[in-house]
Amino acid sequence: MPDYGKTKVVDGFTALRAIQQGKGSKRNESNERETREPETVKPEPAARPSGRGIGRTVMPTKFEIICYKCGFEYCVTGRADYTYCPKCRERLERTDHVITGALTQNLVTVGKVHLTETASIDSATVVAREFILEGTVKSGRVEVTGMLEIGPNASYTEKLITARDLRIPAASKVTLRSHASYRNVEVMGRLKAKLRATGVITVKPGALLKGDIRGAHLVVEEGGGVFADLVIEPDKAHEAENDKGVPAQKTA
Amino acid sequence: MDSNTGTSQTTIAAEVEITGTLKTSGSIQVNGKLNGDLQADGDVTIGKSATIKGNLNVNSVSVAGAVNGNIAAKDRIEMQTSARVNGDIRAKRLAVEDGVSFVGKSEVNPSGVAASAQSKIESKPEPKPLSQSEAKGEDTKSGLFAKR
Ligand SMILES: [Zn+2]
Repeated sequence: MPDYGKTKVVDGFTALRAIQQGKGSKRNESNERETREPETVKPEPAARPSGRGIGRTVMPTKFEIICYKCGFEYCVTGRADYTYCPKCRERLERTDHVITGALTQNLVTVGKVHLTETASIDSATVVAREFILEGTVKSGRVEVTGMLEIGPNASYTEKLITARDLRIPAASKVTLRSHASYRNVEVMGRLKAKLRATGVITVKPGALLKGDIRGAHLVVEEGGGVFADLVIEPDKAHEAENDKGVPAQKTA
Repeated sequence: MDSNTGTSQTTIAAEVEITGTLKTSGSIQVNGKLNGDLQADGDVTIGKSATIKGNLNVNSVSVAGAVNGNIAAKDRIEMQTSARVNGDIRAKRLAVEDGVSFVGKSEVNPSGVAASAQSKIESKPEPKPLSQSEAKGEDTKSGLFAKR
């Protein structure tokens, strides 16, 4: 969490504020009128010797947003709890959630949802950009517009979860029993699946990928294992894009 | 190429076409065409322009060209971006760059755990119904490759 009390970082907002204050803009004038202190300018920055608080300059953090209504992808900066999709004008909640108990009501966000080991989803719909599954999905639906991470102790019915990308962390050993289709797949643990990927399948060092794998791109980093029937055809990437229709179907 | 530096490496130039089995106790670089098997105790480099129709039995191999046949390496198989491999591969270690075209079966498991032993390991933590099914699946894993 950044400390906004002492500004040592220049982000978009502080830069803008500095410009406005430097200009002695109309906005300041209107503020003065409101506060009925015509001779005083906002004290805090003016008291500061110029450049004192500037230690380094960083780019403001960008957040990738995927609209769960229309699928439009865009980036925002800043920390607002919600944003509006530029395409469909849907109000999108941006907050991240960590679920530790039983979730029975719907949860829709373009942020991250972490279902911890003690948590479960029961008859609820969860829509999120990133979903870390370590708990149990008993019933309901989980729709992930971005990355689904399946933790080592996750328990779920495959058909209840759809996701665009899949990540298997190092400690996980996952078997997908039905045909699974994703865009990018990153394997750091063990994955056995009948898998189709339209993007890149990445096998990290220490990981093991097994099963029947079809995709456009495969990257195996030194130390990664592949024990599978493979059809990797970069030239047919477009074909794969066209019939990617069914996302992440998994039946336990 | 390296003959001047002491480490001898045979090079098959791009314009050369060979039919038959090629055996070497050293390393070899293939840039031309080979219709037949290649056996090398050393390292093999298959250049971008190379086309091999036959099986490779080598210590380690770096593929940038086309191979139509199975590759068995004692140590390592590396597939570079331009590689096109049509056949099964088996090695201790594998590195694949993005852009590779590969159709075949891969049997590479650097962690060294034998395929049959894996079922034991994977069924150990046995999380929920998912992993039980996994354990069952593992039993058939050798059959997975036997199927083909
Ligand atoms: Zn939208």
